[in-house]
Amino acid sequence: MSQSYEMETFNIEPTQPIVPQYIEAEDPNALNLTTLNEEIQQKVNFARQETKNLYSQVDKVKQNLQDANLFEMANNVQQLNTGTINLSPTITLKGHNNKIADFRWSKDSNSILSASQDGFLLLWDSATGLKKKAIPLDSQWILSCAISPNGKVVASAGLNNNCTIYSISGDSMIQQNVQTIFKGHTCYISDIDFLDDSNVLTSSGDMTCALWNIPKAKRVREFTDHLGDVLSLVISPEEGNKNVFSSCGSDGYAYIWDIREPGAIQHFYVSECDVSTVQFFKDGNSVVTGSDDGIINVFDLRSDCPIASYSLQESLNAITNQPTYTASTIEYVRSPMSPKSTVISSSFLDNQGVTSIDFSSSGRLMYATYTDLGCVVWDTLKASVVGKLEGHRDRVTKVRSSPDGLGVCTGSWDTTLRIWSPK
Amino acid sequence: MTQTLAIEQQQQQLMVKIKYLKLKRINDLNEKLRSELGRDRITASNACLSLINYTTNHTDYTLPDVWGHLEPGKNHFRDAVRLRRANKHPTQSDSAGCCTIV
Repeated sequence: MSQSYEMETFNIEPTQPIVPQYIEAEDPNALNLTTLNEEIQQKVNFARQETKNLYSQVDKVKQNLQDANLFEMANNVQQLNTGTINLSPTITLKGHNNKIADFRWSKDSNSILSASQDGFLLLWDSATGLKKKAIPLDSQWILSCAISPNGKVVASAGLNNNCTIYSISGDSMIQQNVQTIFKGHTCYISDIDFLDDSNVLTSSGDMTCALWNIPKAKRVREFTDHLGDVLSLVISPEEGNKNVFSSCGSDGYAYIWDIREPGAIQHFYVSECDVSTVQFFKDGNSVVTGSDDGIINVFDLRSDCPIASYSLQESLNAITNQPTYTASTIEYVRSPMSPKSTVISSSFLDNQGVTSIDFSSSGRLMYATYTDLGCVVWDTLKASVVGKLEGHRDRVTKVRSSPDGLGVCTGSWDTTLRIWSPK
Repeated sequence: MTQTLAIEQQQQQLMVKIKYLKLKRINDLNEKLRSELGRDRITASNACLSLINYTTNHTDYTLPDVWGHLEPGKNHFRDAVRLRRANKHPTQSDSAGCCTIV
């Protein structure tokens, strides 16, 4: 009691103006303040000038290094023959009864964890399509899920601002074994992933990314440079730097972070509109962003500049002429509900946002999902569309390649996931 | 009289403080820019070449023109499907043209 009283008196003291002193030293003190003010103003002006110079210098350096783009450099590489992409559907994962929000491959490529708005996480055998585990969720408004490298722990997050960690090492098929709930974000969580078996990264609509530790059960670092909702994050592949991840958001920027530093180590201005997805190239030296204007951009971390850009509009003709790989032609009986070929008008393409991006094992093929256009296959080196992965009856939300490079999985609002693989 | 003067001075003090903070921020930004300027960079052409190099040096069975086809039995995604189909229709031959394991 006495302590708190002391604190209060202490708090009052410094705010009282020292009037008598001021009267005595009226003129000199006022003079001091004005001179100080001017001095600082001068310094501010000087620093501002320096900022301007530095900005132009950085711009110059960057411009000097930007001597070519990917397509010019890949001129000598042979064009891919049309219709020779070896990808066909193997199985369809049926079992959810609402939109697929997100899914992940396990590290060994043998399982897929899917999250649906029906309020379940399902763990599938990616080869047979059999369900291995089901985890009922507290909140059905899920936006992202992730599976740890050792496959023993999974995570879910979404509109309830929490990231929940479940252990799945038990024997029972249906279980909700909550290990930790990470609370702290003040807005929805848009994306999550495991950095390793005990650390999770989250990106949120509260403009931050955060690193959480499972044994400590708390947030260990916040990353706060974004000026808008953070919409996606991706951790550098194993070939790259293990401590690096990238995030993108509605502020139109993509940031590169080192988990050991609170400030971003690199940033790229992408576009005026939302940047909804980001992905690392296979070697971890470039990041690829997909934005709401339908453009995919590649930025190289070592040269610190954009090196390639892919726009559907420019490949419009190509897309209508290319063969599509439909699931129905190969293994499934054509159903009366199969989608009619979409009429592609330019205004339709204007509204095509990129929702997810991934690469084939060599990185030569880039799979990209668009809002209403499904999954498109790009030739990374030629900026031409070489195919489409078709078969879903509704919007395709995500595409992800398996870590072993042999499979590709697409998830859709039609409640199913499809796996594609070379013959 | 003295009170208004005091308030005035307080305000002035506050202004100086704000300005000082502004200066600190700008200096921080300059420091950041300076470190950005000092970063090691390579030319975009070299970055592109290394990316192209990656695409040509890593096996990719989705591109049969370049890498050929996977040996049968090496793709765990296909094998399970094939086995399952064989089990389902042990006597029928597969109409899609795949091999059937009998």
